[in-house]
Amino acid sequence: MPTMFKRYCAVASLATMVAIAAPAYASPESDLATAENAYAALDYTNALSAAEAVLAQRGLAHETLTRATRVAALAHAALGHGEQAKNLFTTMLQYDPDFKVDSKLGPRFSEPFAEARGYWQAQGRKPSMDVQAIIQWGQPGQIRVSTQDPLSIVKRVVVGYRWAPARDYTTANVDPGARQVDVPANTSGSQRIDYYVRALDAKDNAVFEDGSPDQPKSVVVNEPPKAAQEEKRSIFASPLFYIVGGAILAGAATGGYFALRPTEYTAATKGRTIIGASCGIDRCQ
Amino acid sequence: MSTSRASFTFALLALAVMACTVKEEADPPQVAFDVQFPSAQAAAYTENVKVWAFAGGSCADLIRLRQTGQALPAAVAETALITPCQLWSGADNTFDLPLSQDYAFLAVGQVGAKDVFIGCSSERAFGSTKAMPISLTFIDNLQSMGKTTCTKLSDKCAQPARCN
Repeated sequence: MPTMFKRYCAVASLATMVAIAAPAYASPESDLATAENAYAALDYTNALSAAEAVLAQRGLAHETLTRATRVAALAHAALGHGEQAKNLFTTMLQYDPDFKVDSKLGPRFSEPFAEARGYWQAQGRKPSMDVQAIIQWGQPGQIRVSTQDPLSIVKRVVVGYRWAPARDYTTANVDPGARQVDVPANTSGSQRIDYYVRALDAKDNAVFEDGSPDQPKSVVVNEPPKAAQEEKRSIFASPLFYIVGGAILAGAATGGYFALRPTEYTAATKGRTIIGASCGIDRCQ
Repeated sequence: MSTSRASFTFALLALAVMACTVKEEADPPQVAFDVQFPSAQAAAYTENVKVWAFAGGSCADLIRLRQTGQALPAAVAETALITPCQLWSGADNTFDLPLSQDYAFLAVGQVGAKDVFIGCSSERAFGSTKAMPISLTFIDNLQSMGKTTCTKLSDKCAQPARCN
């Protein structure tokens, strides 16, 4: 009996620990799913609370950040919170400049969104991040990043890269704006480089993202064909050209000297005897 | 200023050309000799001719040595056995000798290995352009012409020969 009691106590303790620990291990994605499901069910209050719970976390991926902000903005609009909705729509357009509100949703949605869009139109420039990877075979490369951030949300930009088949990324932190990160050459003969660029806000959320550690962008570099390299090599770069050319020139100069140098003849000291035949006093016939 | 500089440059070039000038001996002048057979028949009858050149020496002594079958002195030059046809065509009949010396040219005409004709010419002005004759006569009075149908050397030298 005491044994059975101990066993029940152990099971109950484990269940309690799991129940307490579960919220702590809830992922942003699960909270986001809860928020989106609540919004779809027209439960705007719970949708808003769940979305704000997601936004309260740190280190969100760009996709998660965008979707949570959208739910929160729409939930605020649905609940009639015009000012909050406008602010979140403004933030939403920072994350996704192409975002639009369905015009059928009515003025509670369209008006704060129109104000947010008007704010960005007044800015005259769209927030964005441009990434350019300049990678060539056998040469050091660069990853160039340029951020447009009128709201100054972006605090730093993280650039990660790895030459395949390496698993770990080499990361570099740069300030917002136009920056570049140097990438070493593929000394190991690797033909693919994986990279990602994330522009992070104060909570390390990815305001802009081009690739991610899990789904990086890739650039494939191919070794130039050796035949093409040899064809491109100029004949003037060949040492054989200079050796042969030098030999020809030296030979021509030597031959020209001996052929063209003036000759002073001295009197002959020998005579060349030519013996013929005659028959009688006449030449033989 | 420029004229003097040009003159100086020209002088340097002239000196360089003179320094580079090579001195060569002129080609040997041709000195012609004719082995003079008594007749065309004698030339056709003769099988081989040999010519020696001796520095100085007496033609009479050389002929006497040959007539008596004695050894000749050392020659400065000699030909191989030459046929009359080779002499006539100008083949294998040349050798070089130093100029301005006195030479005695001894020639013999042979039939088989036997001397039939002999002649000698002393040349004091080696280098002359005129063909000097070396007149052949029978080496002694025991010789006589063999029979030949050739009246011209060219008939014997023709391929095939047009006479015997």
